[in-house]
Amino acid sequence: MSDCLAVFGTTYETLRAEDFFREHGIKFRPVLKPRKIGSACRMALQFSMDGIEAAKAAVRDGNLALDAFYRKDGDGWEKIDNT
Amino acid sequence: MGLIYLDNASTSFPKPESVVQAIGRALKEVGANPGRGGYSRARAADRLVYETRNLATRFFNAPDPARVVFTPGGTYSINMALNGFLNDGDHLIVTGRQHNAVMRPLGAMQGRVSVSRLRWDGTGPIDEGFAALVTPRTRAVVVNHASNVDGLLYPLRELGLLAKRFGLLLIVDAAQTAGLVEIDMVRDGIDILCVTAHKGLWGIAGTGMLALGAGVALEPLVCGGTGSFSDSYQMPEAYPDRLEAGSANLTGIAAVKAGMEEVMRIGVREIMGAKMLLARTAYEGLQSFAGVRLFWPGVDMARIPLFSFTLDRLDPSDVGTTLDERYNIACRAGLHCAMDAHREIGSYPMGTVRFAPGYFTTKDEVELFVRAVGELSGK
Ligand SMILES: Cc1ncc(COP(=O)(O)O)c(C=O)c1O
Repeated sequence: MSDCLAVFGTTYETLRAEDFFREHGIKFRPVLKPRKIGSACRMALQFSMDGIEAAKAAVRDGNLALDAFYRKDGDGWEKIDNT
Repeated sequence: MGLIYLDNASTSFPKPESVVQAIGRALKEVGANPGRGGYSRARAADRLVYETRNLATRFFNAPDPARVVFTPGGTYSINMALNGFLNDGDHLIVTGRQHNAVMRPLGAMQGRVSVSRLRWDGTGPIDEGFAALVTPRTRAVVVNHASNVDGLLYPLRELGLLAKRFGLLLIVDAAQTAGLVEIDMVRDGIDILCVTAHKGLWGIAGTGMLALGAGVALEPLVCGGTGSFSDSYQMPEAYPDRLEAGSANLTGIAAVKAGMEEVMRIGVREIMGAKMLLARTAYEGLQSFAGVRLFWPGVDMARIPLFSFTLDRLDPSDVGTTLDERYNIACRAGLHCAMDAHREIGSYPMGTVRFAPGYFTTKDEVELFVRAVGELSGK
């Protein structure tokens, strides 16, 4: 299940993140960021919670300007601590 | 005889076929607005912009791809640079042979920002007299990398070192050199690089780029939608969005991507060598005519392949018109938007006629040009 989101500041950074997610073998799909989550970039990368550690590694590797990771929480989204 | 186009310093023509094809593909196969929608076509547009930004980053060895932004041309890039960091009371050092793309924004700041000139004629070291120009309010050195009037090429590395030594920003107008001379932002110590995309990079008119050194920040000149942080009335802090308000010129970006790829495939050295051969052939051909005055700065390696000339007793405008009407030769005559340069080389106020070949100019075309000027000069 794709229950996680990675949100970045700009379109540029989101595309960079796509490249690094791919390199780290993370299955993701680019989606429009839910309105309930702040307003940084309009796009987000959706992936499964199984991939969260790989996603964190990708963010570190690419020195990606991550806004935040989110996890599905009922109808909404909850911020995940990125540590 | 078909058109002989010798005005490549204004805009390059023709463009490589791959550029024409790329524009067609961007219109037919992509078409959507980058940075806006979430559907697949919009994402294809995003990716095209992303790839072009990365390519430009490699092309100029820019330290931060997020700080490589697309602009509506070299003029806009320069305006964004100068307006983006100067404050009232600041002082600038500008090298000679400037284009109005630099001098008019500075003219608009007259009384608020002061300017000193660094004179250099292409011979001798450029740092002579530099220290005497620096004041406690000096913020930057602005250099026109190569003159669009006589082709004089300024030594970036030396200027970069000077700027660093005095704690100044180095701002480079690379309108005439991008795609012709290797520019390396890190090696050359460039803080702000202003690029025209439609000359040596084979993009289309109305496109350019601005690349900032690591940590260099500019206030945006133009504000508007970016597709990000849309619930704020302020421009985002994050680059490139901070400097890219409004819809991007997707076809223009596709064009410069294909253009840069073509330049990389051929190589700037090969392009420079081929064009220099043409310029030298024309210069030597014109040298044999009496009554032709040539503006060709003296030292090898300190020049790009274009030059100016005048004919005794003839108005450069008339020479330009006659070359067009009688020989179908396109040369630009007049002041070339660069009064400063003409003042320096002594061709103000009449101006000159300019010979600016392209990579696709042939030797035969140059010979026809030389013959035509010979006839006009009475030889
Ligand atoms: C030296 C120089 N600076 C700036 C410009 C302006 O560039 P653009 O036409 O892309 O606005 C030009 C050419 O037009 C130029 O030759």
